[in-house]
Amino acid sequence: MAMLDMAPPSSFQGGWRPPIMKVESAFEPTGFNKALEDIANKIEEHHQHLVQKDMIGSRMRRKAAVELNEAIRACILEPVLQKLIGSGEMEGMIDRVMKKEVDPYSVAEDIAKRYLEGCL
Amino acid sequence: METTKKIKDGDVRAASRLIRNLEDRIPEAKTTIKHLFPLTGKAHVIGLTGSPGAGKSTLTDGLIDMFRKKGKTVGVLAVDPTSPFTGGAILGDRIRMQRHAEDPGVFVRSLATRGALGGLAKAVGDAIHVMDVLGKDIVIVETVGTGQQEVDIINHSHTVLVVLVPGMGTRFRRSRRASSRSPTYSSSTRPTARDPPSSRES
Repeated sequence: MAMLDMAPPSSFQGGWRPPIMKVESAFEPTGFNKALEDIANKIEEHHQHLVQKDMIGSRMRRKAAVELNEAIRACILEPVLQKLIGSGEMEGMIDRVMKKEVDPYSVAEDIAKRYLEGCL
Repeated sequence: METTKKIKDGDVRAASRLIRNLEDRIPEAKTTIKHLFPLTGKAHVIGLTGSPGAGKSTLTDGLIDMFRKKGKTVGVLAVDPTSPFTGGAILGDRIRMQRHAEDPGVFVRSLATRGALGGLAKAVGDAIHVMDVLGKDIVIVETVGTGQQEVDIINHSHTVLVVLVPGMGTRFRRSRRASSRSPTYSSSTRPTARDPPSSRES
């Protein structure tokens, strides 16, 4: 709450100040259910707010960015790791790093050079 | 695609199988998710985060009830990072939410971190898509909010809830946690009788 108070009003996108809601103990069903209802309503209110203030687009964009990031990572990193693990090369490299024969940074650079020739 | 149609028609078994195949990186599953993608974007994705024991599962369980009463269908993704110390508790959430097992309007699925390859955020993103196409109005993603992977997971959601326990940590720390992830709400299911008055502010 104190930190929310310190934030300038402009930091609350579209005028939505994150509400802090207290929930009763789950062992006190009356208060707990009332709090749940309030939260569920607030969640719907937030969704409507996102739609009305045209903010849902920025959330979708954030989601799309994460997805693309993850998809690229999976597409590039996974086949390389799988190959290194599958061929047993990974274990050999770990051994060498452990014995301080090589450092992990140079090993990673060598692998990058091998697989991402066009990019480096 | 047959699977695409099945999932679109609400076939839970087909959806469940697809999520598993995506986790196992079966090539056909990748083709299916490509077909599903254009059909996504209808569900309201709610991220629920907070430290272990804060009451995320209790709150999720209660929220499932509330949304069902409002006539909405609910999908739940319980993300449980497999603990290297305890071996993880993948089934913990399933046990807590089992009273919804008979309800066809509710679909609960657990996801755990897997081995050396990582990719948890991707697995979650894929599973959200599947639940979306399955026709779930609300998709709740429940995760411990620490670590980069978990932050990435939370970025999949439209609305974020941070669950905090009043009276834990310093006032500053609580506030900082509450604001650093720009949450939408904070709440706690714990008893508060013995808490100092300031704890209400978390």
